[in-house]
Amino acid sequence: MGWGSGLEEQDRMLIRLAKQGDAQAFTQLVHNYKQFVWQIALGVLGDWAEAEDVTQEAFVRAYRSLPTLRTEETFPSWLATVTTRLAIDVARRKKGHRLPQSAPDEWLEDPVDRYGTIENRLLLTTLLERLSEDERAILILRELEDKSYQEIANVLQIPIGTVRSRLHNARLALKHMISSMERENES
Amino acid sequence: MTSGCHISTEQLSAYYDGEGTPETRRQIAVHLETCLVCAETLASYESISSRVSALFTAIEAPSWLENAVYLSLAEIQGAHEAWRLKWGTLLTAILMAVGLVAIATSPVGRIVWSIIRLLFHGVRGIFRSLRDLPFGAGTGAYPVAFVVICFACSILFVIAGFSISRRWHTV
Repeated sequence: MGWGSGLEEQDRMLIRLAKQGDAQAFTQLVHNYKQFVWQIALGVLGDWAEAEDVTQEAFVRAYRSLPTLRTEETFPSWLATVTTRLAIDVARRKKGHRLPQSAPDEWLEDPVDRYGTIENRLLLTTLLERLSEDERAILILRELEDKSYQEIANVLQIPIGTVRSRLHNARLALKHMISSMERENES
Repeated sequence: MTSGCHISTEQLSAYYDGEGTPETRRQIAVHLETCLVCAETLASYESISSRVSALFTAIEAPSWLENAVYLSLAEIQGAHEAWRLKWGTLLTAILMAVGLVAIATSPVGRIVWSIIRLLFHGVRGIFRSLRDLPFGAGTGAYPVAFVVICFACSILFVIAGFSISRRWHTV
């Protein structure tokens, strides 16, 4: 379901134009990829405000470094790498930061808004809180962006075995968490 | 490792992601046909995947985020333009200074410099004569120079008027 599976001709052309310095083309790329970047940033950080900052910063960095991109095909992976590394850096700098403190006030004011239902938001909050930033990054890259273990290893610059074990740990943690939540709901 | 079988949950996780050698994948596939525990674990991974996907797909990026990115990019472009203007101006000034020195030190430059000096002295003389006129009439060559300049100007006016009148008639 990720963007990396295939690049549309229109995007390929936009990337080519943006590489040549066409600001209008890059603006269109921002429009097309904002959701992609936002999801990664939010997935790794679990913090709306920080995810917004990281999304902005990721596009700014992409704009600056776009001329160094070798092939248009690698743009989504490259953008995902830039975003993930930025988000992990921010998460490491602010380690110990708790999600509920940074969740926006609109959560409680608007039961169904752009962030989904309250249940979704709470589940997401709890889910992300219990995983490390690396586990979150691996989970997001795998589940949302459909990256292979090798691609994730390249993005995070860790061995492929570490990707495998951390993803497994994240899944186990989520499995236990979901089971206990379901048990609580039943009782 | 799940109880009572030789396949670990980590292997199952990798299998679920389509990783592992063809041989390992084949062995796990055969094992899954008979092991309910492992099949259940695999189903739980599938459930987690769909939950995570559904969760994040439901969360849309804030609408204003795009504008915030554009503003950041506009700031960068503005800063870049300012930087180019600053260094461009400085570079032009340096090049002009170098060019002037080069001209001044060349043989042609010396001739040009002499002409400039002559012109400068001429202009200064005219300026002084104009300055001294109200106070020093009849005291030297300056009033004469003033009269000559006035005469030259009137001739120029006459020529210009004649030229304009000819053009007017031609049209």
